[in-house]
Amino acid sequence: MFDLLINYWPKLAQGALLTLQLTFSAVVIAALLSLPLAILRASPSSIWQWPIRFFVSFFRGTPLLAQLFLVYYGSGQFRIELTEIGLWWLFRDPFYCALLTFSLNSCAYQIEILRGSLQAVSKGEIEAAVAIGMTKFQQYQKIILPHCYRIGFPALGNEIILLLKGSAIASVITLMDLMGHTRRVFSQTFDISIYLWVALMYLLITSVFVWLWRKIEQRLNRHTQRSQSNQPDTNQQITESAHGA
Amino acid sequence: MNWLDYLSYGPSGWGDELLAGLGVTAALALTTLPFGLIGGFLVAAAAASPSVALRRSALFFTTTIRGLPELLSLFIIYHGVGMLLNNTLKWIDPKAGFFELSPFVAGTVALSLVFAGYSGEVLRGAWQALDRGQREAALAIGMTRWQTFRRIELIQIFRLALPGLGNLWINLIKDTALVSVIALNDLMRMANIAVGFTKKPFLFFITVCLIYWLICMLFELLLNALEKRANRGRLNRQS
Amino acid sequence: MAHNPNPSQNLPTLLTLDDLHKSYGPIEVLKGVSLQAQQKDVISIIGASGSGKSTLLRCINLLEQPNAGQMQIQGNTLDFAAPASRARTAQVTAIRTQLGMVFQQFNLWTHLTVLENVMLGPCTVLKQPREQAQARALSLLERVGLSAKSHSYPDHLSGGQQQRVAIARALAMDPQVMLFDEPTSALDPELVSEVLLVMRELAQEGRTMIVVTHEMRFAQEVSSQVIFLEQGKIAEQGPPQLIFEQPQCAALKRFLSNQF
Repeated sequence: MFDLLINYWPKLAQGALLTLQLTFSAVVIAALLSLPLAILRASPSSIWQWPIRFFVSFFRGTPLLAQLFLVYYGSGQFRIELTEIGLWWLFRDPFYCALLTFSLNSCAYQIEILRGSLQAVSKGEIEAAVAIGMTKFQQYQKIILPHCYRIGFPALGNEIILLLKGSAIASVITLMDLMGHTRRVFSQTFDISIYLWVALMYLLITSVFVWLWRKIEQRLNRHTQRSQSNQPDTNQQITESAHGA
Repeated sequence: MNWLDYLSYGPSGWGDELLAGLGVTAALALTTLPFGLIGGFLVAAAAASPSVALRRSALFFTTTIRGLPELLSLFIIYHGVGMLLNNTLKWIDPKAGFFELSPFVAGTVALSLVFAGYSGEVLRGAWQALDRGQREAALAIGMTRWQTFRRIELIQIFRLALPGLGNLWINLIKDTALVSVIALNDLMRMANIAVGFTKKPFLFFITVCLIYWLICMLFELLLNALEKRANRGRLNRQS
Repeated sequence: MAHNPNPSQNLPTLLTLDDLHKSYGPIEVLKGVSLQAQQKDVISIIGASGSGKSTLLRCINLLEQPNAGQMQIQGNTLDFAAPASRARTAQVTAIRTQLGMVFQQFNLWTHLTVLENVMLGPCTVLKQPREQAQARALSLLERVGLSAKSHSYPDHLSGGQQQRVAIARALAMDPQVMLFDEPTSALDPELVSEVLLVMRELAQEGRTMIVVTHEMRFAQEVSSQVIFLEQGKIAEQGPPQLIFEQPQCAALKRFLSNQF
């Protein structure tokens, strides 16, 4: 059991690195996209409301695996067209395809989280900002966004964990992430304990992340008076944000 | 061939194959749901029990199952339980043949465990959110513990847990797609097979996406209606 | 004084508490409380917050388990020093059906209509037929002035209305004794009187009631007996005239001077 770990740990470490790269690049791209989209989605008069709703609903209503296949294999149907506009390099590469899919998927979930948080920002505080003559931009910069991210912070953390776990399906399109290496090792050795080692690695990564996220959250909340006991524990939030309504 | 022909019903089109796959997907989700829910109730009961050992096991189970990729859990069940069964068989009867765990059973077991892990947390949360006064009022008029649980608490737990359970059900439908990876002929895998024959990946995968999307939206509507019904009599929903 | 039944009438004793003790961990909340309720008694329990009034009431209904002492009701004797047993559980249910409880926070079941709230006890505990339970529930709702609301859900009612439903729910069990745990404390001031009115009527009909209350006028005008609880003990008790007009102990004097 241990010799398996000793023999294969460099592979597993490589795989874990790819998993982390994939997940966190996707999260960052999604974060950059989701904020403007969430603001557009939340403003009642915007003509962007419906396209954004459509986008969010599609990515939340279909399996990540199906989305990945659609992007990676589906693009092959348009190879000639994609080559002409100079985008084929992107769709040819499984890493970029996974990155694109995961970014769009995470973006959809993040928009929903931010939309809810934007609505939860106290109207009184915004009015107070208007009353002292802040511009719209200042309101967002100084009042609305700091509140919004503080409110949405736990849910965003859970979304990242869900994506981290979801990224395991990248192995299905031949990417050698943590799961990919695991599957290869298993097909070579038929030793079930490799799964247990990898399970431990995933648990380790998620636990470290949960711990880190909670530390950051405490820092963000250090100036507020909210008592810790009022905040639901992280376990519960994972469930709630498990693709929250 | 026109794209509609590819999706048509009959020997030339793949409509009937996709439909059969959809049937397998539905069967998998519907078989998983009761087991997952019962598991969730057991986990919630263990988490709320006075026994420290039971509480720790519940915590261990939920933390583990929710920290692992669903795909990994599926492989562990499919290969691990299969191997365990075969080793046991060999041990009992060295001449026993190789027993193959069906992908459907493996999928049901894995997805039930995942569902149990998440729904256990939802149910525990609902249990904790329950107003204690509701229970006291029932005990005060002399209802037994069981009557109190059945007539008062269970219904209110259901109401509180409904949004969470609804989300988990929709997640479950989406997660069934993973089982195609271990060669269960569900909707996702039938699309893969069709792509292999027709070389029309975009057409089939977008069709599959639209089917899942439609199902999820239907259930979302249904759940909204159910929630409205369950919350009749509530002024402000505190979900 | 509107109503003041003579406590010296020789009526049967319905409820006896003898030396009740209750602790939460190291903190002793009740330090030996004894009282007797005769038929038609209206006993008001007053005292500062933290004096143990609510705990006492919750102990009577066995929502809290007293640590020591005895209780007698209708031929059932419970000795709390003895370890709990299976027989005790049956006794507890029997006792609870004879005690109607009205909570501070109403505790109406939010998933049931007003009518269903009132009917549930008679149907599930007393096993009355539905029609009978329904007829009785409707007449009780009429009595508390809420027959028009019988198909509403509790959340759609005002606090005062909810508390009147809660009273009807308790009455539906035909209890020997009604227990009220600060029934008006959670209400807006303008809603207090409608609940007190119903309680006054119950007292006039000769209902036996034990009321934990902050409403001193109610205690003074309606009760037959007032008990002043101070730090888990009965510091003073007697008919309302004596308690309110000639308080003896210093704690009671201080308490009363803060009330009016």
